[in-house]
Amino acid sequence: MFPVPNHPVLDGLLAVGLLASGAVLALSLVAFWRRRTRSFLLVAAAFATLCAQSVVAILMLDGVLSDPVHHLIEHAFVVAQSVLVLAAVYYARTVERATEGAE
Amino acid sequence: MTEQRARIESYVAAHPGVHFSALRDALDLATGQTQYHLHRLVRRGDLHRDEFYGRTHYYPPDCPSWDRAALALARRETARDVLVYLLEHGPSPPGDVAAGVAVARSTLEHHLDHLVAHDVVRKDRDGRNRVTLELLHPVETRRVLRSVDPSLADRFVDRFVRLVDTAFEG
Repeated sequence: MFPVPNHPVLDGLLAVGLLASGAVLALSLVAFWRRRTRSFLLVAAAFATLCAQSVVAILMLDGVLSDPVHHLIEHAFVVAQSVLVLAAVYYARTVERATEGAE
Repeated sequence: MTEQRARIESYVAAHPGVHFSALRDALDLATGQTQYHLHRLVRRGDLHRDEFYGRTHYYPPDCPSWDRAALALARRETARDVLVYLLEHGPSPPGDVAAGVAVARSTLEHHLDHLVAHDVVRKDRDGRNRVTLELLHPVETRRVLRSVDPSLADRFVDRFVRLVDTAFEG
């Protein structure tokens, strides 16, 4: 329906991207599970959107998603990533102060 | 069957506090097979199982309770670095330890919570409420550090946490 050239380099990049972002997501989830702070949760969520970007790209190549929808979602993910990281930085400072207070 | 169990027993004796996955990989066993043998060994009292902060560790039955906690904590890279720093420098203020180990104060405090809870490190406060960190059992701590090495997965998680803490410190 939406013809996409079957490019082996793109396929390879997507596969490696999915594996690498999946590994980073797993790492951030274990880190959150250990620390249980809002900042670590937000960082894990940001990496989850990174991993989801690869999934969305693969869904487009498989013809599940149209190119315009894929394009829209990819840009929405960029917004989500930025907001999540900014929120993580904001809450990190709050936690830092709380830790100092407890000292 | 009994041969595998003997292998597991001698591996745990040589690597007290080993994680389930590390044991399974080192002995090249299947997950179900490892679970089955460990369950039997623990039930018969030939091995001791303990959980620390979400991870399961296996010990020889005669391993004392302080050693079990210290061995588990020494498998975390940052906690290990903190212990090595205190062994080398003696009692030190937390600021010096965080700087020496190159971690954010929040990373240090997280690991200190665990080390203090299990009587590995003591927080001393002087009259002006200044904190000094001190090893409660330096000789035993040195022995524990010699006998364990953190796994690759543990090192990765530890470094990720350190990176995030440092990036957000400010």
